Amino acid sequence: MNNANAVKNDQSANADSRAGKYLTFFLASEEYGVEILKVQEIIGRMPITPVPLTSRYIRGVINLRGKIHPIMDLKIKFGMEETQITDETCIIVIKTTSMMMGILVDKVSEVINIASGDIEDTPSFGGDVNPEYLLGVGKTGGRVRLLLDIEKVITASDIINMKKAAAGEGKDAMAEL
Amino acid sequence: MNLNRLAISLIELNPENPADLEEFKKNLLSCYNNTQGRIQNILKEACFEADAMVDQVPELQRNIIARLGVLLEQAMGSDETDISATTEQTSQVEPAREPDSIDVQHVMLSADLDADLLNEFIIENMEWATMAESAILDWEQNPGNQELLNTIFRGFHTIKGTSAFVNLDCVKDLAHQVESVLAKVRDGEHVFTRSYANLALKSLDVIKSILEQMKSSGPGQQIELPRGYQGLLESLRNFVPDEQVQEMAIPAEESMVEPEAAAPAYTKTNRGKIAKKEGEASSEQSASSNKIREQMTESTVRVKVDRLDKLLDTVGELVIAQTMVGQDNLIVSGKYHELNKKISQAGKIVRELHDLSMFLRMVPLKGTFQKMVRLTRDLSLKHGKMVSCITEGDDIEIDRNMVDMVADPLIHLIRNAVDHGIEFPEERRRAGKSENGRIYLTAGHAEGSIMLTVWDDGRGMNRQTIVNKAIQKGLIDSAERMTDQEVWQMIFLPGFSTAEKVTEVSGRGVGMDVVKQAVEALRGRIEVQTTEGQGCTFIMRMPLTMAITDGMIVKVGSQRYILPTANIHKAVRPQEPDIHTVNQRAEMLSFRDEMVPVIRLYRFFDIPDSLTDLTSGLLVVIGEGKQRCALFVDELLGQTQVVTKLLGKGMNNVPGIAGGAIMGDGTVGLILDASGIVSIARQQTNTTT
Repeated sequence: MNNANAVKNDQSANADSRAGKYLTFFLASEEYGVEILKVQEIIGRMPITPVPLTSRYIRGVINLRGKIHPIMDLKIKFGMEETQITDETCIIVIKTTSMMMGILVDKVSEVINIASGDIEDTPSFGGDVNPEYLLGVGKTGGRVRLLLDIEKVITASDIINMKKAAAGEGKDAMAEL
Repeated sequence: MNLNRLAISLIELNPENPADLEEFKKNLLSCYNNTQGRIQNILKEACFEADAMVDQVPELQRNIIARLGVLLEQAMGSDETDISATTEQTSQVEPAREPDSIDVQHVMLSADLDADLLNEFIIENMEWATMAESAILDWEQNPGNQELLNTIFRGFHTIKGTSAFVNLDCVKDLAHQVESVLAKVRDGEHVFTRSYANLALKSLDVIKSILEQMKSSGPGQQIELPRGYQGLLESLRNFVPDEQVQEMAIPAEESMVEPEAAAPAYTKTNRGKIAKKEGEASSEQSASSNKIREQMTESTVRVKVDRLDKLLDTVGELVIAQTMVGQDNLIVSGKYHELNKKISQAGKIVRELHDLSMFLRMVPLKGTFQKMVRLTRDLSLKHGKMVSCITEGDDIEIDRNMVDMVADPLIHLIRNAVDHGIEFPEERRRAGKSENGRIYLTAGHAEGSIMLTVWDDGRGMNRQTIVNKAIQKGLIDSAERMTDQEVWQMIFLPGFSTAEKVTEVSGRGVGMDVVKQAVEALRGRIEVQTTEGQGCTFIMRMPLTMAITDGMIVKVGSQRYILPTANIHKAVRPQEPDIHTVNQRAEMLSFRDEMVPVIRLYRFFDIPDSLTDLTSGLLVVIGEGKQRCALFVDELLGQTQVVTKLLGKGMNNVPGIAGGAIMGDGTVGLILDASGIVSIARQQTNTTT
């Protein structure tokens, strides 16, 4: 009995940190979720200024009430097709302790409460998929939502891409020859 | 017998009386035996001088006394074990006691103090200390000015009072001692001498350094007392005015007259008279100065920096929003005349608000200039030169963020001027100049920018020395075709600064490239003008604020970028013959008889939809000297003024991009970093070839 209780406590403590309100959104046909407390706001599409010599998944920067914020294309980051901007495309502005960044998503879905019992650990996929970005898998109302560890996603440090610049220049020079 | 007493006995010495002379020599010898190291060496020299004095005619004897004064001065100066050079004359000698002051002491900040209160205390006392410092420097120039003395007193008194309130005894004691020393001057008991100023300034330095330390700690934490605190307190307690030595050692001719006149017995009455006169004047003066002080407190409000920044951001947004309304199709169509009028009226107010908010960031240069005056004073004392720094235009205001950045190049220039520019008094006398060297530090507005000049009347620069050094360093082959101006500009070259020998011979060139870099970081330019034997002038021009960048909007394909106007030399639409290729790969533009490498911006930034034919686009020549290059862009779209902003975390080091700016239509425009582009383009051509 004692033993069982201890195990249960352990589990709930573990799950507790993941349980809570999530904002969910679509990337292509998959539904993802981010913790609502990390979301500063949701804005409709607006003109994005591309920044040269940065990684492909950085779509550029936007002006949000006088402050400049970078915008990340999550689909490119996750190895999918580049996001096509439509009327439903949204930018979710994420605020972490250290930075602010917008993420580009195909469609915002809803805010749901996911209980600890509904969260499963991320299975290991092997191959290309990086499970580090996932907190777990939420299952409510018969739908599967991939819960993102958004802080890990956006603090990846390889934003500036010098290689691209060098390669581009080299390629063109070669072409001219 | 300590050095101070010895110095005083030297003043009272009657050289015609052999017994006096013997007595003095005996004292000197005993002093010599009690000291060691450098001081002993100096005193040894003094002993020789004194020996030589015995059989001389009176005039020569007076000369020797003057020299002895200088030597004693030196001895007292080197006796100072403190770090700071400002206190050379303040120490109370007795070397055995000095080592105590090196022990580091700690003071506990009282734990029951409110952190906000403590903060308030620090800020306020810093202000008082700065004010007192400025008053002391002025006072030194006009010792008779009672009002200045009152300002100094108010400063120390307030510091003392508030320190007692927060139980900061170390500061309180110091301020109290300074007050009592200065009180003797105020009450006419002593006459002003430089040593008072030295002591007071040193005390302020210590107080400021204690306050600085408090900034980084909080209630209940320990702070370290600055080295030399005890020694300073000690010398304040035992302060004996050594005015006679001072006056004798510094202006050499005056010492011929002074010894008798300044002997304590005679001058007491004189001083009394002066003090009385000043006393009469002071009653009304102090009333008026009180009034000034009241006005000052009434007219300023302290605002937190982040609130101010937020306000400025918001106003910037308002301007953009207003522009967007003004450019709306409904308005541009011109159908709604009344609405147009209202909107343009609102626009005027918004612009005015914007201008006003920009002024909020501005602070006067006064603080910076005051630091320079202090620096000049300390340096000239250290070098045994007589230099005064005269400032003009210290009410000119610049951006708060620029104040510290302006100070660095100024410090460098002043240091150079005192070290190398201004000659020693004898040399100046020989050259027919006044012994007192002058450095003018002026600020003014010129063509929408701010102009700072540092002018000294020293020896100036020698063309031949600079040319020789440049040839030796391999910077040039020959200077035959160079104008003087081109020669002077060479001192700003990076390779030039390492030339230590040049600094000794020609007097200039220490780290001038650092100065240039600092000025360029402020988006400014620096020029130098010099006439050999008459001095040197450095002229710096920089924008009033770093917050606003003047730029040209350039178009490359579908992208627009902002190129700071300060970087642009010229934009040309090239003709076929102007373009030359190297290995069919690299391209060059001939520009004013110079071959300038071409950088195709679209290739650099990987932009697919731009022009590719050089003759159909524009080449913008940017950069200086070897860094010069021509950027290929589609066209110039116009001029703009933008507020530079950061791109967000992780994006601030994008090569070739200096930052972002909100454009008139609310989108983000990227500001190009000209020097960044040039250096990367260079690396890339190296790797691809």
